[in-house]
Amino acid sequence: MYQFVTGPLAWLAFIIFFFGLVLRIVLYVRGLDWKLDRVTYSVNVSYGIKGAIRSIIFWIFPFGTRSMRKNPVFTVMVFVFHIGLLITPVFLLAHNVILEEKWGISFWTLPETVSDILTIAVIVSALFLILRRIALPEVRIITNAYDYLLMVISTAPFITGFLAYHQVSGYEFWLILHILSAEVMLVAIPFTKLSHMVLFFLSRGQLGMDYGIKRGGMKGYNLSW
Amino acid sequence: MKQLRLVFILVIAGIMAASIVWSQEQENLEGAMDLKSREFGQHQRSQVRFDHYLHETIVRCRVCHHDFYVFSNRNEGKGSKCATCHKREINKDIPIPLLTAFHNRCKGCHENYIKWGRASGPVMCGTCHIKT
Repeated sequence: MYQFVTGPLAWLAFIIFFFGLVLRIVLYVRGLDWKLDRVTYSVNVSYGIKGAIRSIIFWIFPFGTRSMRKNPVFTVMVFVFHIGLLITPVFLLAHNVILEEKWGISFWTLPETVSDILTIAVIVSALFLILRRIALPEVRIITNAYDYLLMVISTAPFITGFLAYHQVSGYEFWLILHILSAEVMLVAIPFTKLSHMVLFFLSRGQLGMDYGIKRGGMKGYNLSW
Repeated sequence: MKQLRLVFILVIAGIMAASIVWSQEQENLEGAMDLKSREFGQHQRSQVRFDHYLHETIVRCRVCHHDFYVFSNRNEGKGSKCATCHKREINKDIPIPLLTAFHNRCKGCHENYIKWGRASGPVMCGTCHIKT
């Protein structure tokens, strides 16, 4: 079982993840229509790029936007969740040891205590995000089972990984479940809204171009819309 | 009375069998060694208990120890250790770091045995690095 989930199944998951995301990017860019979107993507490019980068930067740092400043607790939780989600698996010692053995490459690694704390932080912040969806009426009405499913998919690798790392009884079961749940997440990313992993940058860039060129970005340049 | 004698014999036989099994376990433990190296500094994971006796009966020495005559391997406290050549970081002469050398020698071999469809040892991280 371990051989299968770390061998063929892992390859399949990574291939679907990678090519799926590339396809999502290609489809997103091809789906852009300057007439429909009223954004001149290929004219005034320098203003467009500047606006895009500006928008991405403001959205990628905590408290960069007005709504983030209005909801500080939510902002902190969201950033803790995302930072833990991205940093932990990539810089985890055990993952890099496997990477080093298989392909001879490895990144700089986190001390195990730090990755343990980050994992707990991801689980706790995920719990907070779920409770928020239940507690606040304005998000409850737009929440359905799909949203909870995605929370489960993205948090499951951390819960199972935590249990496997601490070697609770049934270690082998938890480790295999950890690998399987991570593969489910990788496959789910291109097909679900978890694709915001890359599409965030594209839609933020697109909106940023809109603002950089038209909505005030080129004020005073005799641009008539 | 006859039944009682049978029970008595069975109990004695059971104790003897258990003591044989126990003594064998003791013997096995004698052959077990904790794999550790000062080269690592502080170990991040719990040390691996390696059963040298068991492996002697399965693979040839040189599978792990390279060439005895060239490297003069660790023997009764003399000779070179793995860490004499394999250092924590790779260098020009030895491209395999100590950690990878250990892992390849244990897990790599176990994985090969699984690939060949033969009885094998553990390959999952926590099955060797058992938390105490």
